[in-house]
Amino acid sequence: MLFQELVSPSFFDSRQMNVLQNRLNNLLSSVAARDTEFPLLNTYISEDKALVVAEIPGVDLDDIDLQVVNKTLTINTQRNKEDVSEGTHWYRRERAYGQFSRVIELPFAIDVDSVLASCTQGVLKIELPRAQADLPKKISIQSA
Amino acid sequence: MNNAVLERKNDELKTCEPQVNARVFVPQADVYESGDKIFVVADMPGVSEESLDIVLEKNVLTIEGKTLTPEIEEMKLVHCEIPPGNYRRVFMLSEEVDQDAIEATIKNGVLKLVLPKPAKAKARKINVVAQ
Repeated sequence: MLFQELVSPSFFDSRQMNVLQNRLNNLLSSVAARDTEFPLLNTYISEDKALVVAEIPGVDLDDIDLQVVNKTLTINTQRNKEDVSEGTHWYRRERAYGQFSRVIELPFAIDVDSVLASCTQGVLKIELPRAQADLPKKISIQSA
Repeated sequence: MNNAVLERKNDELKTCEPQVNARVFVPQADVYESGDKIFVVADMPGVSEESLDIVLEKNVLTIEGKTLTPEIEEMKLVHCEIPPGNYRRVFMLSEEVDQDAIEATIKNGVLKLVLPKPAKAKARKINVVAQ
């Protein structure tokens, strides 16, 4: 299959190259994101809503700030430093703390008033319904 | 013929450990010692107290957490940074730990282990008597 694509002249079609490039990027980004981004997130889309799932272990609910403006969702979080007594000896310190922010642009405008967010076991779920005005409308054709 | 092969395969599967085809993540962890206790703090979002397994064998500490893959129907995954997978990490402890007194709590997806050191492993000051 791949070989056939390689020998055919259409392989050098820029569109196909772009598809290949995108797939490679996706493959690499999901590995690299684990080290650099916080919180990590998955985005799901359907016709009338979007769902964002974010991993926020150890973040207090009071420290989560969600903002929705038109198409963009901003998640601001803060993770506090571990409370330790003096004279603590550290063997390993991998968990990051501080302030974190992520901005996600969704493919449609959001109905800001009916956004739902819940958090269980350090997993934040944000349901973002599509704005009524942005929903596709079926236009009926009248026969003259 | 085909059925016999299938039957044999089914029998083999029953006797094997259940196999899961999923990624295994290494949870990020802090390890520190304070007073006479060792603390292990690990990020394991999506793991509940029921799906968590902690085993200490001699001085090898294994933490294993299973995540439940959320069932999201009729929605398309358009951006993925969290592929389905479970957590597993193994620590070697240098000192003997009081195995019966280990405390584990999980809150907001963060596992906290408290491993107390028994009296005999604590540092002792030896007095030198002048003769």
